[in-house]
Amino acid sequence: MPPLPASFAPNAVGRERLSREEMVERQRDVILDGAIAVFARRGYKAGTVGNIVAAAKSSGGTFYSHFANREECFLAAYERTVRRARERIVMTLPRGGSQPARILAALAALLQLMAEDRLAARLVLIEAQTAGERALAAWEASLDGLVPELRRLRRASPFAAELPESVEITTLGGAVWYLQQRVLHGESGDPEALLPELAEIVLGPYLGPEETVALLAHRAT
Amino acid sequence: MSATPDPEALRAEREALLAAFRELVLARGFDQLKVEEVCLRAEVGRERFREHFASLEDCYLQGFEETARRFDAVVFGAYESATGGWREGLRAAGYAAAGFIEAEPDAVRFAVTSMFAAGDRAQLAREAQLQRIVDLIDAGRRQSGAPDWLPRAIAEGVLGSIYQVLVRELGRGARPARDFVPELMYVAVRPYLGHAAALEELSYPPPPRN
Repeated sequence: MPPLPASFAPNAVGRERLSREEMVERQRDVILDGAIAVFARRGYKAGTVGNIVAAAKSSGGTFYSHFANREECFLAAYERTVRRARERIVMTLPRGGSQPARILAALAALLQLMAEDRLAARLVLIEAQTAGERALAAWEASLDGLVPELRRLRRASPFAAELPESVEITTLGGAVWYLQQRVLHGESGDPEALLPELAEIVLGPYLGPEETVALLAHRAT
Repeated sequence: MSATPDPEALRAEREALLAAFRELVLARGFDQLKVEEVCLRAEVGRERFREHFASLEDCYLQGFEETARRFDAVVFGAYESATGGWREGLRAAGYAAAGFIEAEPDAVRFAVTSMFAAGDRAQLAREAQLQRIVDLIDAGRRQSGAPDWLPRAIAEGVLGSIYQVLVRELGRGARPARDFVPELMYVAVRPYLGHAAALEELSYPPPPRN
């Protein structure tokens, strides 16, 4: 007898067949989604495994099959959020183009991400500094990873020879603080309105205000 | 007849609790602390804690507010008594702040540690103090020649730059706080008065130490 057409196969209608690995990964992702919501809304200290399991509509057994404890779950949620953000931002970067244009595109993409997922933004920008030493180390490593990108802006700077050694650290500090304040005050919902301010904080030290404004104008056209 | 608590003994007890709390926050962070541990370290009876503080958050709040009052007096006092304008005042405030940080490193670390973990009331108190510092920086917008489109958020960014240096560089202890003032003045002046004026700050001589 000839085999049935694929459309007659079990589970073919509206349901994909997942491998065991994919199911496990999806289960883990659902828990991480719940964890992000719980930690962002309640804070790390007040967010319990019970809260996470309830938010994820999962079970304690399932939770502990993926994570040893609350801290491990937080770290995994943080790492996943940062990784996805990085992937999304890289996708939006213009091919070729100057480093300032690339940084501006990255800033715009970051603000867009923050507007789309305010809970994840809060987890990374705020709660990572309350979730213990390992989370703090992960946060600081994320910041350190951005320093080389900023340093490349010096090549485009008319002040390159005169910029203080600490300008990457101070620029990063300014940008982080600005984003944290937007999250804390619930002001991250309009990325286009925030971009000029963030651009001045990040690009202004390297390009000066007029060039930064010109770059913004060029992006808008 | 019950004895009236000796005010001096009460004050010493409160100071011991605050000092113990501060040491434990610096060693372990705010998150895991218990009242019993603070009392044990302060060598004060557990029941005495409530005579002074409603909760650990209240303890943090009072400790933070005392440090903030001392800091404000030093820094804003220097700004107000500097001769010249905004730039001179900011520079004087910067060196005064550096002096405070060098004189009271643990108090400063305590104030910036657990920035987001110590509860809503503590965050509000910190926010109020930080906004006073932002006001000082933001006065740069009123300087002659400053771009009129600059929002207050730029001053927030400057504060963030200062904070990042405090947390990262001072935490490593490689350089004294006053060594960072020229670079931080560069950051503060640049948005309002431009790169050339900011560059001057890098070679401006520091005031003599008191």
